[in-house]
Amino acid sequence: MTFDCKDLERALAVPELLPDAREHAKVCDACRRELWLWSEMSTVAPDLREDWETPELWPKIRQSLAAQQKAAKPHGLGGRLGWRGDWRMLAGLAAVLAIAVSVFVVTYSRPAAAPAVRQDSDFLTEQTLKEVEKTEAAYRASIDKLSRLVQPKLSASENPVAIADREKLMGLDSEISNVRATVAHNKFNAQLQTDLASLYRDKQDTLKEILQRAQ
Amino acid sequence: MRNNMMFGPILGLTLLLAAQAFAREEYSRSFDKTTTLASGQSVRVEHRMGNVNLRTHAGRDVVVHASIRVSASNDADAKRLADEIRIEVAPAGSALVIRTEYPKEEHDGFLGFHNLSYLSYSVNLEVTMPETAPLELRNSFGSVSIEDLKANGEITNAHGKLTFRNGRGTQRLENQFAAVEVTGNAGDVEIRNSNGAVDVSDATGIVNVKDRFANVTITNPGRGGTIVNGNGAVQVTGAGGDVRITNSFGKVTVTGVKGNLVVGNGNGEVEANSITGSAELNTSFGTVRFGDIGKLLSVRATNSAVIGRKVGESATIENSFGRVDISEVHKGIRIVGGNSPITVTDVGEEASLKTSFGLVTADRVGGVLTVEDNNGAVKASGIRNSANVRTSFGAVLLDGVAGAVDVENQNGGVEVSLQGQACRPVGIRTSFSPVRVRVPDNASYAVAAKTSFGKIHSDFPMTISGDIGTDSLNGNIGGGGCPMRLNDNNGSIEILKGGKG
Repeated sequence: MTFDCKDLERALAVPELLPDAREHAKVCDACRRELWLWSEMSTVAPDLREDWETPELWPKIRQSLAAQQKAAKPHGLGGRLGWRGDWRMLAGLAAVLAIAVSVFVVTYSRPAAAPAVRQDSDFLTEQTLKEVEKTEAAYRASIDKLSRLVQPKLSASENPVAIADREKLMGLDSEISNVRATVAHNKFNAQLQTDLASLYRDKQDTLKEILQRAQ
Repeated sequence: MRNNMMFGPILGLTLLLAAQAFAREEYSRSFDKTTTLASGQSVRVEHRMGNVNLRTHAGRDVVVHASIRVSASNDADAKRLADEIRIEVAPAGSALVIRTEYPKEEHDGFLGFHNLSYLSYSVNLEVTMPETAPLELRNSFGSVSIEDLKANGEITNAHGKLTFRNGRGTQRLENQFAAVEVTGNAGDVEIRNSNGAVDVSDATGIVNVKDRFANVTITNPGRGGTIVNGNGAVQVTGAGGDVRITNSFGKVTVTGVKGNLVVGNGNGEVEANSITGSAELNTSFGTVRFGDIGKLLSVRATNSAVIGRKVGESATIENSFGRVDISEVHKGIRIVGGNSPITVTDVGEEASLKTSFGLVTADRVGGVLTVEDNNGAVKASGIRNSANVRTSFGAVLLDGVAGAVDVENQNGGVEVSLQGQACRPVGIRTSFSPVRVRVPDNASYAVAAKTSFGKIHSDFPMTISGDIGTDSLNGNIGGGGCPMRLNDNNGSIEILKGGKG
């Protein structure tokens, strides 16, 4: 190909074009400088990344929640503060929503950064479970829709990528059904629910990848 | 502002209220048992629904601590189920077996709990055992962590991370849908996983890994190993022995192997650097890159480019639909490409280059240069031996050939610059394009030049023999003797001064 300065940006995104870009840069000062800058940036960038540990964060949250629950349990918070009846139920419902959202975030959304459910408590509460089950149903429905979109493309193709994808999806489906059977007998176990969520995520990612490739 | 300030405490209070309004009862109890392991006895752990942490010590005691937790809608049921979960620690055959027994499920619920759906349970197990006792461990739905085991181990887990640290002996680890991480083992390590990453570092023996749908990373395998993966990347660094990798749909990266390397990849890139032995790199639909291969190099790549430098012995490359760019091959090189350009630089011995529809470039070749191209130009310089070139529809430019020159072209010009005073026989045939030969000043040639629809020109005074015509010439340059045969159709022929003396 006849390489031009206007091709440089494309070459930075497509590695196959880089040799042509370098060849061109030998006779083009502007492109040579641009290539040098990119090369410097990719060398320097990894060192600029910064990570830090926060081992105290979750234990502190757990401690504080445990302390609050302990303080509230002996007398009942309503009795203690003189609040009664409907107001308490409303507040409870509002809080349930907050908890459900938190569990949804931890269990079903990505990135699964906080291992709060797994480490802080082995079990879900009843209301949280309801929300998780509701979310799971919605999630499954969305994955099923995605599957219906992908299936014709996948079953029509006999190329190695499609065969591998089909195999992966079959493996995931089989494992999802195994884990669901296990979850049915241990529904409040947070570890099991997290495992199931992770399988659904894997399936969703695989379906999305297939769809992207097809497009 | 005031409302905002109140939001935090109110949310805290509502969370507490909710916790109270919908709280389930959790009951937990501990199990502890210590027993002495008989000489020659191994340890077997059979567990599920919880984590297993296993440590070792120099003594003979096996210390088992279990944390049993149950969640139910009332205290009584939670306690009842927790009491029914048993941890058995008893000898069976040549092993001491630690087994977690959950109540058996019956058709109407288990042990009288008629509504199973409101119960949940988990058991976390902590075991301390003699470091020299062999271990067999099975778990699922929980993580497994093993440290300082100085005996053979066979660990199987599923749906939970498997971590193994600082061991000795042959370790067989298996997992599904979760990662396996090994840090330090004096001995061989064999891992089977699927849908979970594998990360092994500092195992002094052979590391064999079989995985799918995840990445495999091996660092410092003392005696090399075999990795079979699919749909995930493979990375091996600092291997002390031969490495064999089979993969598909993922990049393979290998750096530092004291031994031979064989890579069979499909639909993925291959990158291999600093291999002291031979390297066999095969792939499709992914670029092959290499650097510093100690012995032989063999590359088979379809629909892939091949780019690399420094081969200690000879190199053989077969590819298609991708450029080949190789430099610093200590011995010979043989390249069969297709529909792609080839570039070789600094080849110690012979170079045999075959392609089509692509430019062939060869610089500084120590042995015979043989090029077979179709529909592509050929450009070579610094050839310290003879050059044999066949092509069509492309120019042939040979600069500084120290040996015999034989060029057969069609529909393409030929320009050759000869080097040295000694006899270098020259044979050039082409059509529809000019032929130009540069000859050192003091060279001697017996020239037989023939063309049609073109002229023949010579910078050198020539002693003519036979008939003189505009389309043919027979004569001597200098003392003659060394044959130079130039044939063209529909093109002129020029014999010029300016070769490298």
